[in-house]
Amino acid sequence: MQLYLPIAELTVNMLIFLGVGGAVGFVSGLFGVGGGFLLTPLLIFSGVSPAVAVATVAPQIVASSTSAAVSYWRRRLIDEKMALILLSGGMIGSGLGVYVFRALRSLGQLDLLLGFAYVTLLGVIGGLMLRESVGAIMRSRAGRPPVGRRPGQHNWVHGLPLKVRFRRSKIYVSVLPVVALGFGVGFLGTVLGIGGGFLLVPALIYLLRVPTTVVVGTSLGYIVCTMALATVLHAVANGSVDIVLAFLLMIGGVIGAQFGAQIGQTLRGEHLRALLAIIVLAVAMRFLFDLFVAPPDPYSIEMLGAVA
Amino acid sequence: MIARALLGLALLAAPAAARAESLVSALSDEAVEINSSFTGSRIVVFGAIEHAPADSDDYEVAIVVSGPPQDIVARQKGRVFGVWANRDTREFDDVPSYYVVHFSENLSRQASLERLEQYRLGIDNLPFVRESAGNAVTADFAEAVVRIKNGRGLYMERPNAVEFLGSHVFRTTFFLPANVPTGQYTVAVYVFRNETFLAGQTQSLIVEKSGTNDEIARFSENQPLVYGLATVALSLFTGWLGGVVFRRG
Repeated sequence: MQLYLPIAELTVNMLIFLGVGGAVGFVSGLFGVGGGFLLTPLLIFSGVSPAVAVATVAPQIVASSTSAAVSYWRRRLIDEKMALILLSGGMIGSGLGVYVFRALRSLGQLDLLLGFAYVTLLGVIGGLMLRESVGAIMRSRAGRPPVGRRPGQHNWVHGLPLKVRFRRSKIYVSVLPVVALGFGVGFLGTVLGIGGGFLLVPALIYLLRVPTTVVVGTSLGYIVCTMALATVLHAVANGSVDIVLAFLLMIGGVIGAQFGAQIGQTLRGEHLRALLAIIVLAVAMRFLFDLFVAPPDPYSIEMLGAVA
Repeated sequence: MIARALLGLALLAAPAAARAESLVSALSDEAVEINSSFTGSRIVVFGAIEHAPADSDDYEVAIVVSGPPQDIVARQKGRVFGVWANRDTREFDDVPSYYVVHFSENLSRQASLERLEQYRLGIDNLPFVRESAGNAVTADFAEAVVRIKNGRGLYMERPNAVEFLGSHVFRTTFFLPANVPTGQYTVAVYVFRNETFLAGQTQSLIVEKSGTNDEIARFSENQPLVYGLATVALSLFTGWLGGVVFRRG
C-alpha cells in the first residue's frame, strides 16, 4: 500500500503510518495525553523532515483532542473563561513559535534545538512522574493512605496582582500566571510539535490550584485551539503541513485511542503514570543518544527555499 | 539548459569532417507523472546513428539525464562541548537535482572517461564540483553532496549501461526513484568515435505531480491560509466523527 505524500514528497507505506498513528493513539487513550511528544519524534525517526513532522502533528493533535474536548464541554467540565485567557497568551506564543521555528530552520539548528528541548522537557517530566508514581506504588504496597493535596494551601502565585474570579474552577487568581502559562505552552507546542497537555495539566493543578475535575477539559479545549492556530500558521509561514499524512495519522489515532481508553480503565492510576514515565524517558534517551553519539554521516544537505 | 549549451560547444568543437553521421533519439515518455502510488519510474532512451558508413561499428555513447537545478546548503556536524551540532556550512548554487550518466561499454574504461573531461561529462565535471576543487574544505562539502545524492539514487555514473542492439542502434534505461524532484529535465545523448564527438541531441522530460497530489501541492502553495483552515476543518470533523462512531459502538 504505497502512498505518495504531496508535501513531505515521500513515498511511504500507508499501513506503517496508519500503524504509527494507531500506536500513538493507543498510548494517548491509555494515559489521557495528546501523544504529540511521541508522534513527532516517531515521524522524524522514520524519515519525515522535522519541519513537516512538527507542522503535520498539529492537525493530528486537533483531531485526537476534539472528541474528548466535546464530551468534557457537554458535561460542563471546561472553565471557558480560563481557557480563553490561556488562549490569549497561547496565540502570541504560537505566533512567536512559528517565527522562531522558521529562523532556526534557516540557521540549520532546528534539529539541535529539537534534540535539546525534547531531552530536557521529557527528561524532567518523565523523571518527576516516575519518582511520584513509584512513591505512590510503594506507599500503597506499605498500606499507607495516599498523601492528599491540601486545596486551601496558597503559594507565591496567589500574591500577584490583577486578580480575576474563575467561577467554574472556584479560584480567585491573577491573570498574569494564566497568560504566561498559555504563552509558554503555546510556544513550546508550536516549536516542538506537541500539544503540551503534559505540561499544562500539572501546571494548572500545582501552580494555580485548579480542581482536577475541570483541569483536563480546560487543557483539552486550549490545546484544540492552539494546535488549530499552529496548523494554520505553519501552513502559511512554512508550507509544511501535509494534509494526507495528517489524515493517515488521524484515522489511526482515533481508532487507537478507543482501545487505549478501554484498557486504561482496567489499570491503576499510579501504574499507568509509571508506565507513561518510562515511555517519556525512553524518547528522551533516544534524543540524548542522537546528541552525543557521532552521526553515521556528519554531512547533511538541504534545498534552499524548498518546502521539505 | 546547461546540457544543451555544452552540447552546442561540443558541436562547434567537433571537426567538420567528422560530422557526417547524425543522431536520432527518442524517449519512452516525455512526461513522468507522480501520482498517489508513485514508487519511481523507468525512462527508456533509444538512439540510432544515421548516415553511418557501412563498415563503421565502433561508436561510443554517453547519455545524461539531468534534473532542474537547485540551490543547496550542505552542513557539517561537529562536536561542540560534547554535543553533535551543525558547525560549518557551504552553499552551492545551480546544483542539478538529478544527474545520471550512462556509458556504453567501449567508453567505460577509466582512460576514456578522463579524455571525456573536455565535454564535461560525469559527476566530477559538474560545475559545482569543479569550482570547489581549489579549496580542500569546500571540496569535502561538494563530495558530501554527491555522496548523499548518490545514496538517494539521484546521482549516478553507470558504465556498461548503454546497450547496442545493432551496430548503429542503442538503448538504455534510466530509473527515476520515488523521491525524484519535480521539474524540467534534459536528456542529452552524445555519440563519439575514438573519444571524439560526432553527434548529439537533447530532449526535455517533464517530471510533475499529477492528479490529487498536484492539486494538494498547488493548493498549499497558492492559498496557504485556506489550505491551513481546510486542514483544521478536516481534523475537527475527523475527531468529532471518531467520538460519535465509537460512543455508539
